[in-house]
Amino acid sequence: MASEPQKTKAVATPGDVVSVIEEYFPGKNTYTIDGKIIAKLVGIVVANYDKRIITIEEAYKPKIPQEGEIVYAIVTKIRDISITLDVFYIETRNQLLHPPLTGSLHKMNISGEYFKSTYDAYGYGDVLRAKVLIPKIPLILATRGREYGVILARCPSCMGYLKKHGFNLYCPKCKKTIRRKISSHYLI
Amino acid sequence: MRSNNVVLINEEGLRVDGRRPNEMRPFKIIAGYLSNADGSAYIELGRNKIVAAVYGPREVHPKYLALPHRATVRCRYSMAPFSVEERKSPGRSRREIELSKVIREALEPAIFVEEYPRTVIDIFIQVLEADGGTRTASITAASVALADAGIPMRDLVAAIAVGKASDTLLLDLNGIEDQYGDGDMPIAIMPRYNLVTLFQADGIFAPEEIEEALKMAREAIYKLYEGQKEALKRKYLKIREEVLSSE
Repeated sequence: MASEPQKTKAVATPGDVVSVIEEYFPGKNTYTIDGKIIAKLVGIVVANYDKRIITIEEAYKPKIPQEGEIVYAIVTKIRDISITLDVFYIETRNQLLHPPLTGSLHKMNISGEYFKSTYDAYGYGDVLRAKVLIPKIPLILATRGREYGVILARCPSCMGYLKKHGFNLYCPKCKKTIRRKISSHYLI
Repeated sequence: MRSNNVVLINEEGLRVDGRRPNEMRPFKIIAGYLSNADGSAYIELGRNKIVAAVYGPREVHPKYLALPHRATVRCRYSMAPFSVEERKSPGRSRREIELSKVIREALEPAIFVEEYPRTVIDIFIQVLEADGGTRTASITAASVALADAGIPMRDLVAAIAVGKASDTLLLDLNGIEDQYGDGDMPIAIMPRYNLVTLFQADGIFAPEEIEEALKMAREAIYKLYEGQKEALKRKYLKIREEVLSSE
């Protein structure tokens, strides 16, 4: 049975030699030079004795979401092929991003079901819950899956908040039904 | 011994502040000095008091400054109006603009800029009290602030100045020695690799003096390097204790 990676008590700072390549493979937050494995960040040295990988568990993460993290974003621009968003919150870290980061959502990554155009899936000002696919700016996002999509939207006519009504959104004031890619986390 | 009619080294071989020529001033480094910045550090080197703050990596504004293959590093060094004896105008001087560039170029080789394309790393340095060698102290503090912000780095950068007065090399010049001495040579090094990232010289130095100056600087830089690492570890262990006690 494989054992868990062992956290050592050693705190590494950038430039500290944590091991050598004869002993371990360089893992996350390390790099090699002249056969030495060196820490890139401040953090705890974690050694996996089974896989022979040494990594640094970072003490402080930069405010850029990693691959697979869940973020909240507001739609700022809609085009035929893609949607541009302002990513303002990382749910997995409970961290606000100020100033927001730019995200991009390709038509292909909106949903598993068919949407005629990007305009049918999302509207301007919609707040989305999305997953990060590529953590480079602009962040490449995806809303495939029932837990991803709109979590809050306003009516394009009266600007009132839309309510979830089955698989669609409904404006109680205008009595209009609006189609969106809705998340299971929709707020109202 | 005299230099420009100011006695910089007395008959006993001591400097104006009582130090030996190869003695550096006492220093103190604190990591995580500011709560609002992503990373920060405070340094006291003799009478110098400097705060460095790092923001980022974050999105670049204006967007045309974004580089597609790497992060942009921006640095702003500024001196407070009350940092020197005679009030300094709060506007940016030519010297401050030049020092911002010099500090940025000294720190950039240590950062893995290629890991964050189309982003910017902003470094802000505020000199609260100046007494010679602010650029080197700023580099030392900014390097700690970068590590505190969680930015991947090859190594920390530490810096010190070596000067000359009456044909004697002096380590870590203070304000008077900087003003009345015969030369000033700020040096920044990445100690792990022994790589020089900043080397400036003002004044006339013989080749053997440069060799000697580098040797003196290296010894002092290793002490600063230990101080930088200690400051980062102290902050990390403090946070860890707080987290463990709250659990």
